[in-house]
Amino acid sequence: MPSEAALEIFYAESDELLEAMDSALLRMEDGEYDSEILNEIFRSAHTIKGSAGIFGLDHIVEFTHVVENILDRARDDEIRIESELLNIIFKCRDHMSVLVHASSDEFAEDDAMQEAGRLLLESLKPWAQAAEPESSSDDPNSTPATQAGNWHISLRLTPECLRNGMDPNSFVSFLGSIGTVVYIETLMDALPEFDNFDPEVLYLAYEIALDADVDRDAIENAFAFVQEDSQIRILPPDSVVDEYVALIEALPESNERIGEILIRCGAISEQTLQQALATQLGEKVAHGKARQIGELLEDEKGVSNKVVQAAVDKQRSSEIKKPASTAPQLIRVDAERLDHLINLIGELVINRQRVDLLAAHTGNESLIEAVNSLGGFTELLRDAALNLRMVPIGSTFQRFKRIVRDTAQELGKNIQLVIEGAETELDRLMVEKLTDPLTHIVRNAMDHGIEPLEVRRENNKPEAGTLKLAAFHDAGNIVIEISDDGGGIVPEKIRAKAVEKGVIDEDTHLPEQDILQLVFHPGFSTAENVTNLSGRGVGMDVVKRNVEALQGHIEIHSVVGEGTTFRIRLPLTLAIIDGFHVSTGQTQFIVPQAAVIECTDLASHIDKNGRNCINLRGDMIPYVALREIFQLPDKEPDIEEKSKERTDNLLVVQVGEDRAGILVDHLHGEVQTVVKPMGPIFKPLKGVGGSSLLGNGDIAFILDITQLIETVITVEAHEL
Amino acid sequence: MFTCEVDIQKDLTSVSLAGELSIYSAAQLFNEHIKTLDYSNDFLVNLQGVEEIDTAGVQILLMLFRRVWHEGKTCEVTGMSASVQNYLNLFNLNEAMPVSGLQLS
Repeated sequence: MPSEAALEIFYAESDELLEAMDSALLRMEDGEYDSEILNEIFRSAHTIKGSAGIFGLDHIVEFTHVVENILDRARDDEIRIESELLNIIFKCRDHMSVLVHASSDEFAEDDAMQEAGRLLLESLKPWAQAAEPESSSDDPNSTPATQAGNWHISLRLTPECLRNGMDPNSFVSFLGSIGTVVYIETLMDALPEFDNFDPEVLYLAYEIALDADVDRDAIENAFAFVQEDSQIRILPPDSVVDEYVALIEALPESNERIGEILIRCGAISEQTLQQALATQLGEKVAHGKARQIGELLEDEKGVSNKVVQAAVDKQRSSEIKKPASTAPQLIRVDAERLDHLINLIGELVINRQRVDLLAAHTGNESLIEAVNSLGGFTELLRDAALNLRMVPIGSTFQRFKRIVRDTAQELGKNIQLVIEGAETELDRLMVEKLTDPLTHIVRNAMDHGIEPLEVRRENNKPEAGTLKLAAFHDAGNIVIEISDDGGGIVPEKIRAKAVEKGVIDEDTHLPEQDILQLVFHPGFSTAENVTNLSGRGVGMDVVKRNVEALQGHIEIHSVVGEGTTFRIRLPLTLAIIDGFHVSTGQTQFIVPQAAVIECTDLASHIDKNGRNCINLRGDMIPYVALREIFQLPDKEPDIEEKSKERTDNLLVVQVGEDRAGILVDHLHGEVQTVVKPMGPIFKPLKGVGGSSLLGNGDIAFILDITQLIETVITVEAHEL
Repeated sequence: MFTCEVDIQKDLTSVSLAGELSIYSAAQLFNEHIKTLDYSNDFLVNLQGVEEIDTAGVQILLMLFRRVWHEGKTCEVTGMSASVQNYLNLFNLNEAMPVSGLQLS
């Protein structure tokens, strides 16, 4: 009956272990094969099996047990994991993941899942050991690693363990599942006075005699997740008397008491105990001090550690820590709490603007300075909070290694995955939402982009196709590229299909980029064979929608015969941005600062020929007025103040390689604002990517520069 | 969720516990019920309705028994449920909670 909370931890840790296992298997496939990596893979399976045992998740234990045996044999060099076995182990790992996420009940009702497991275990038979070491006493030829007989287990769990979701019930039940509990004594010595009793604290301790034919690991495993301060002592069968004496000495209760319990457990006989205690006592008297416990243990068999919790410590540190020696210390935080914190900081940022404004109005120097300083800290706080949300895209890219490998196998193609910029960071929420679109694009590239072997040979291309996933920052955005060196997208084919599907008319002429964009049209697909992977026409338009839902854009670049690149551009975060506050007429706008390269005036650069572009130090840059784009009312001529000020301010912005000028009435300075997304009703409104609350309570529209530039360039193209 | 019904006669207090006696309700069960009882009588404890019990629940029962015995009174179980019996069997605690000859339904 472990708690929900404990079960959650089991899921999270198992997922991590499964990922580590996947990663290790991939490295093994790449050629890494040594005892370290074999140990890593074995330990992952071993730990999952053990913890599953505690939670009574037998379906996981049964399956993983067999896999673990195979891995153990490989560890002991009895077999070698070649590609055929490796493939099966990949599938076993996947099945383990399925099992972990299914409850015992779900498993019992799912015939397909059970069958899948059976088939996998069947396929492992050629490598499996003849004799299973985990059977109990009816197997007379137990392998040397296990010891049959009565194990003695002394359980002193921490008082807090009940609160933490661990109940001794689970452990004892688990022990009962790997052997027979011949005797158990529940020690109630620590139960306090009635008035001092805390109902959520554990006061009970246990001494257990377990008849089992197992190795020490099997028992230690059960306690892998237990608190660090718990004391679990395990004495294997046939332990020497001195070891029991040491145990008696080490336990807090009186010697006589423990001695009696051990007798009841059948661990030692009364006579032996009396003799041993007498000897011990005698020595104490003779030498003035007792022999150290360590010395007592010098000449035993079967006890490799001191009779302390070292076993548990070792278990925990070797199995739960990641292999990298320089791994940073990580803690688990509830995602909701993190989001809450960031929301609060967002509100703080807004409030700070207001305070800024009010302070400026007072003209009070010291106040203004103090508020500035406050602003500085708010900014740092904001950055730190945002950093919490940022995760490197590498982990998402990592997952594709497995997808590419499996898909390439399915397609019978040789495809190499290259990853660039894995350390590029983006908002955690975005990462989750990107996985689906990226997967679709990758599968598409592998299925339709990369040509079959013969075709590549004919065209003198390397036999192995290359798929590249790259990520980098640009102008306050994150850019993700998926490129392949396949056959490219043939515009004529797209066009023909579009006409066939009635997406465009026969005689519509579109520039190439627009033709490629047709690929994102719903119901569109040019695949000759609709395969399992892609080509059903429901993929690309969903991809585009997903990307746009993240306030992003997607474009395609392709060269026939050479390859295709999908480029996705996303804002770094959906939460807070640094912006430039501008206005035209009564309407306020914010331009993301990262996109602004320059701030100048129109008059100095206006093109003499009357075209809508400016001459910026020799470069001709198109520009457009916000007033025109958003059809804002004309300036009213009789607002005297405003009409005296210059109202031809030009912001030069850049996205990628494109530059454009944006004409506004007034510049108001830098702000940092919380981005509130526009509702879906505003989707057709091009050029606006969100709104924000200014310090004075006004609403400002955040410009989507990419869309704006697109508009500008289109307008220009049409006018030329 | 648990229920705790107490019936106090002149010399005998009967406590009927039912539902889940677990860590989740341990504090409430002990502090609001068990702790508030008057321990000057003999006790009968009916556990027939206990559907689930864990170590926290068992500890509370143990404390109850001890408390009664501390006053020199008797304390016996009059009704047992499968979940309680299983736990007692698993941990060899049958002697800690003697069952009465009487079987009150």
